[in-house]
Amino acid sequence: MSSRFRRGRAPLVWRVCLRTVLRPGLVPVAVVLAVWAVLPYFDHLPVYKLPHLTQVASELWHLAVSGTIFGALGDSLSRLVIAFVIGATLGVALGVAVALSRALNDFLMPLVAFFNAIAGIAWIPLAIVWFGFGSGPVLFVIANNVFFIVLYNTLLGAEGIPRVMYDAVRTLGGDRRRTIVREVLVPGAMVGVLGGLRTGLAFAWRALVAVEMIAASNGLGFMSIQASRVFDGSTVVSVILVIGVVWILMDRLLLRPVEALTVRRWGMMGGADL
Amino acid sequence: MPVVGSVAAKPAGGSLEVNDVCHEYVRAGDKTAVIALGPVSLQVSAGEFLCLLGPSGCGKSTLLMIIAGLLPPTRGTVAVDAVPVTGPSRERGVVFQDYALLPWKTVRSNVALGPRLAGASRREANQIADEYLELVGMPQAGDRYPHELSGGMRQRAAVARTLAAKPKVLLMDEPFAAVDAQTRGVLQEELVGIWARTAQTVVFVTHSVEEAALLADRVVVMSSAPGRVQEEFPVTLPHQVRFSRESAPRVAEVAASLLASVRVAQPRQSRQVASWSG
Repeated sequence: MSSRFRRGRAPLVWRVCLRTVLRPGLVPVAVVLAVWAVLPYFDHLPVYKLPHLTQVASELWHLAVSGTIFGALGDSLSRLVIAFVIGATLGVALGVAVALSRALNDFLMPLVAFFNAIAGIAWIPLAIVWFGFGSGPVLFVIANNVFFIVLYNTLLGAEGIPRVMYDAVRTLGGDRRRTIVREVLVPGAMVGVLGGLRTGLAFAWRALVAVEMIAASNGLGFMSIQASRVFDGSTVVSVILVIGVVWILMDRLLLRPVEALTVRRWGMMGGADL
Repeated sequence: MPVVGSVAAKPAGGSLEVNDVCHEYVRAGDKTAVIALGPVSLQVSAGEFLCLLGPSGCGKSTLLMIIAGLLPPTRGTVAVDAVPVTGPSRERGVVFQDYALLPWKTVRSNVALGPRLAGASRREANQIADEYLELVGMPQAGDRYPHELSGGMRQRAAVARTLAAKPKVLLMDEPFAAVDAQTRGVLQEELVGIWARTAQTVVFVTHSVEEAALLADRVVVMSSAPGRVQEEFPVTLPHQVRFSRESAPRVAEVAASLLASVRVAQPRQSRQVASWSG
């Protein structure tokens, strides 16, 4: 009797576990960590090839307690913010301008198509010559990256606005260009703009670390490349973990709420949660 | 549906005059000019409900867009209350087939857009919007976004938005073609009620003979390629009784004579197809 009762309860407990543990993605993370933890027992991986989980954990702890990691993170994040704001502002502004003017569109689009094909990283040597080592080349390369991604997506968003939206506003008395820009073009391009900002931020964050490895003397990328020079794999892996976690936090705390308040609320994006 | 004071008290619609309007386009292949529409001349008196009826491709929507000022005619003129039309304006409101509500605005803000663009304060505009939402029977929906509404509700909101801009002429481009048959019947009856109360001049484009027979004071049947006025039918049956069951045979009679005229208006090829299938 009592065993049957227990058997009846087990699925409920299991369901609760599923709901509370599986949903936030803890299980996949735990699996990866577990594989990492047991890997050295199956194969004799030397520590310099893949530092052990416990080593990285204690390294992270030291880096956090000493504040080293936060200092590097602060350097990288402030660069990201500055470059992102510059690139995104120019991208949206030029995108709207190009969407409005056929002449500007015809003049700029061939140039944009050319420069867009050049990976941001390819600018590093020139950027170092122009700005010297330090924040200058990093900001230039990242802002450049963000600019093209945001510009393209803004244009895509503007092109996707159905003509009838403009017609509707014009027949309601919206005869001035300013009205059309404010009422139709800018909000209508929002899907593209937000998509561009999200992609731009993601690419910027990735590229930032790479550029810092080459052209900067502080930040997460510099910290990682420095550590590798003294075979400090634990720090390298710590930096990787920090980069990933910080991105997830930015996405969850910043980008998704903005999306939920705008295009998702307006029904302009697919219902499926990305 | 409650009668809203300020809505019913608004002045009657304007008169519309279309003089020898043509629309030509240049064919992509051999670069020759093709006359798609006209010459067409029409007179619509203030407060009249006119249906433009014709086979698809006869240019009736093109004519409506020219009246709206969204498309310049190749030749000819359009005038409202004897003032020539030079471009789109709030005096010729359009209800589009696919609603054209702005998805980033709530239903209330959509309806308030006309008054806002005419210079009303946000509060005034919202008040006007609520009156018109009540007129179309959706006073509760103001805070919702268009994508949260059914097709029928969206088209009601679109009608409210166009009316709230207080146009002299209401242009409707197959507005009920995208909703299901049951909703369409309800919307048609509501539209006639609103029209009767607001004394609005309406030009209503449709390809449905039943719809024209139910709604119009006068039906203009258009022929295709190029679109021209083929025949005009005044519909004398009083509007109040058209939706009643007893009137159904008489409405069907009107629809049948319209259908005969549309059949003639169709280009020969499609007429053959129609006779094979029929």
